[in-house]
Amino acid sequence: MSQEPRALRAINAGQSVADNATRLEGLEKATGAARYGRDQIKKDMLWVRLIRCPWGRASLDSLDRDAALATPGVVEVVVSGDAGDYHGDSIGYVVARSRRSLERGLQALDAKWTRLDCKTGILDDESARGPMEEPSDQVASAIDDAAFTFEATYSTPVQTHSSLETHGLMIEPDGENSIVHASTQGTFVVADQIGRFLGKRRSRITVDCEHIGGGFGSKFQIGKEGAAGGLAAKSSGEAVYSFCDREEEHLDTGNRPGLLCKVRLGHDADGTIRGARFETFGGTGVSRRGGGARVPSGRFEFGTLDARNHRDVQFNAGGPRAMRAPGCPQGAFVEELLIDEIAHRCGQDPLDLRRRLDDSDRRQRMYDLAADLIGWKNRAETGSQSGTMRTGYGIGTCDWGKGRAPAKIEVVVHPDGHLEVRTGTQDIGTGQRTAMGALVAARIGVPLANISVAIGSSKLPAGPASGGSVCTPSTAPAAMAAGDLARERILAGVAEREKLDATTLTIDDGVIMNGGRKVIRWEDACRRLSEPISVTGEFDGRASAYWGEGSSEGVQAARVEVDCETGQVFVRDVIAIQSCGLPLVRKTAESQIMGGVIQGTSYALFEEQVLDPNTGAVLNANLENYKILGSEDCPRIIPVLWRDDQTGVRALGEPPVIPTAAAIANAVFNAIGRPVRDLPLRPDRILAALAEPMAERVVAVAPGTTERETRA
Amino acid sequence: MTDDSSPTSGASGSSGSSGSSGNGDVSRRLFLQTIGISAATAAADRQSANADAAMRPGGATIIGPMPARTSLEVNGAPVDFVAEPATTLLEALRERCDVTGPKEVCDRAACGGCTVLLDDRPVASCMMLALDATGRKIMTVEGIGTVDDPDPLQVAMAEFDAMQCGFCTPGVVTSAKALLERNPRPNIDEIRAALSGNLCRCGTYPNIFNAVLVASGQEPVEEPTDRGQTIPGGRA
Repeated sequence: MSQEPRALRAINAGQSVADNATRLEGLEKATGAARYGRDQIKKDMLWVRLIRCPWGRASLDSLDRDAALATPGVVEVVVSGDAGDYHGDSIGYVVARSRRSLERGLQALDAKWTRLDCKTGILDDESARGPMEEPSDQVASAIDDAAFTFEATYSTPVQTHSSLETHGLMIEPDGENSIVHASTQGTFVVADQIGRFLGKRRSRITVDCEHIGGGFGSKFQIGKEGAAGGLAAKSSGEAVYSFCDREEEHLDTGNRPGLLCKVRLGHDADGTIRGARFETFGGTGVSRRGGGARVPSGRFEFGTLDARNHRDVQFNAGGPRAMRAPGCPQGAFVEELLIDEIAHRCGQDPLDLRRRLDDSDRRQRMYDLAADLIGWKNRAETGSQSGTMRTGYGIGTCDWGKGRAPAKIEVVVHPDGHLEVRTGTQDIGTGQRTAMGALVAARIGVPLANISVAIGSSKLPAGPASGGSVCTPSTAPAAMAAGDLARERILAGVAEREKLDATTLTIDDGVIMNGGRKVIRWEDACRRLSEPISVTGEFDGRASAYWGEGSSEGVQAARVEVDCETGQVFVRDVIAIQSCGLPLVRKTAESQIMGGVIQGTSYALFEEQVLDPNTGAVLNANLENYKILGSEDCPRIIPVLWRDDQTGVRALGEPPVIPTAAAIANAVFNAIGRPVRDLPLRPDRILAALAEPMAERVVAVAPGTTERETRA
Repeated sequence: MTDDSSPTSGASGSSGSSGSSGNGDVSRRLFLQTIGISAATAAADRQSANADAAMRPGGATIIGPMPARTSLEVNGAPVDFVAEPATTLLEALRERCDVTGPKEVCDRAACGGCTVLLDDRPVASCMMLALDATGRKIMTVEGIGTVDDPDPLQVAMAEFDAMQCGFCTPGVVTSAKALLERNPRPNIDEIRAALSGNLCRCGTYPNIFNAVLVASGQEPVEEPTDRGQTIPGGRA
């Protein structure tokens, strides 16, 4: 059972603090023993469902509240509005004793709506449809000075998080107190927010979220479903179960907003970019903000740039929420495809152009490795292939910031040598639980088997929400500090009893050593404790010794095959090289990278929320028409955990999702010789692109020469 | 099977088999209930004591619309409960039997999260009535193995980190178990095909493939680009 995928082992061996550690809750999850918020089902509990608008914009004509209340099992009908501004907008909620009575109550309510005119996309905005504005004088003159001008428009779709566990919570009365089983990325956010609706002080509320079925940025707030659950619990005093169904999940729990981006730039014959103007339009539905995209990213030299020109466009749809690297995959898609287009125009290898435009030393080394692993030398010149199946290679890049927040980790040392790591933060599947356990074990010098981790409760020491990839970087310094404190306490006791110098003692695999000599086993040293001791490591959210140095950078390379008869794109291989400072647990870190690649591939090929332009209804608010990548579409992925001499723990959750779609789009461009500037890369778009002329070259390539030779 | 779960408002009743609510909207559940009547005939024999069961002139036994006693065999143990006949197997397991391994994700057989073994065959438990599972052997992920006594497949899933949030994992394990029962040494294409009905949003498919390979005594996937490279990065 302990066999490993050999290649991964070879590539990533020795790259993490705990190379062979296995996810602590792995067996619980694989046997169905792990209980999620959605699994907190009691025989006697109330069910809550929101009353939702069925159209993009509509006014409520009537509803039969009395009939709903007369339905057996219905206990409460709350109506607080009479209009909806998007499909899924809510005007109240119904509370009932069972799932079935809830359904009947909603039917009896018989809400009748009048559909109103609505806006359904970024292109409903006049300035988005119109031409680009003139650049500033500086940028205009930089573009004029360049040998060539290039102008293009790119777009990306609305992507929904599609967490498999829907949003919601279950509230259980416990005397004067309430236990809130929440599906959340922010244990303490829920604790702060729910009291208002429950009518309880924070001290009377315990939030429990031991396991969470996905969030990806959408589960920071309690949401309307949580608020309604809180209100129902307050008015009834009973246990309340308030979770979205699958349709509601796709309609009203956030999304990655769509992007429209117009670019004008001036470049020279060698690919040098002299100046550029980017105009971005983000679709924010009914929200006022949140549609921003990170383009340009700052990773590449674009010469003189105009100030950010961004406009959030409102229309009748659910608003965005943070989604894994908000604004970044869409920005990377634009920027990286743009670079490949410039490279092609100039007859250059896009990898070489990147090397010139990118000043990160680390990524320079990653380019070499990515090219080697994907087999870049086999890449045919863009547009040179004929036949039905054409192969393409593409590159994408990423970086991520160094966000951090205050965090505490408590370590309890029991007299039997067992260590309990306690942290209130949540493990949304990132491996946070395992990372904290493994880090404490490594700091002390005991096997991970000595450790258990209590996680996901507002009664445990506070820590950040799982967002911005700050959770592990912030809790890691606290865990290192706690581990060191626990170790020092035990070693001080041993030194005193054995009349040794504590500073010369070490712990190696559960054995306390003095120089090369064994002193005592960890368990035996702990046995001297009369009671458990507790230490708490604290990170104040600023730089400290434990924060260290580190950064998150990455390069991905994709190999695709395009079927030019059907327009289907097959992503065959993705090399994903990612630095994250000091990697903690190899297996879960590889999983994070792989997950980013898979979500990025899914975004590149399939995902797209579709609104009916006439009614504003979402046409694919489910998992059969909103397609996410499945087992048969999954590429082979080599996640490469990059490690150099960095000592600080850095972001890993978000960065790997950034470059994938960009790398795939570039690979498709390479295969078919035409850029597809709109995601997803649907078959109809591939076929439409193939009907267009080959992408233009502005620098002549002599017949029979390769890109490489042309440049030399 | 057609699916009609889209919200309808005001469609007048056309379902003659029910009418308990005095509201005849053709919902998916009523639809299921309707088609479930014939299939549930065998099950209904065991329900004859149920006061709510009545004989229709045509001969089919009608159960409901009032709650009916239902007996299931879940993971080798008999379970008895009273539920409306429209209760799906998934609802029965989760809400009546305290078996929460199978997950409610899409509630329309698009994702595989609710997969259980019915007489050793994988089915979407959200798409069948509990009554139709009467007299049949139901096995969920909990029955395949437990934390204290896991199946080798479950051990391999954990070992290969074939999960992140883990919400799809029970369904994946169940589908993979069914595959291994009918094909003890599946190749990677057969594994991909067998799991094509199980969606994983976190993105763990490659690890799942390796777990299934190793659980069936085979080598994990040899990645195509392995060149014996050991230490990328600056430490070489």
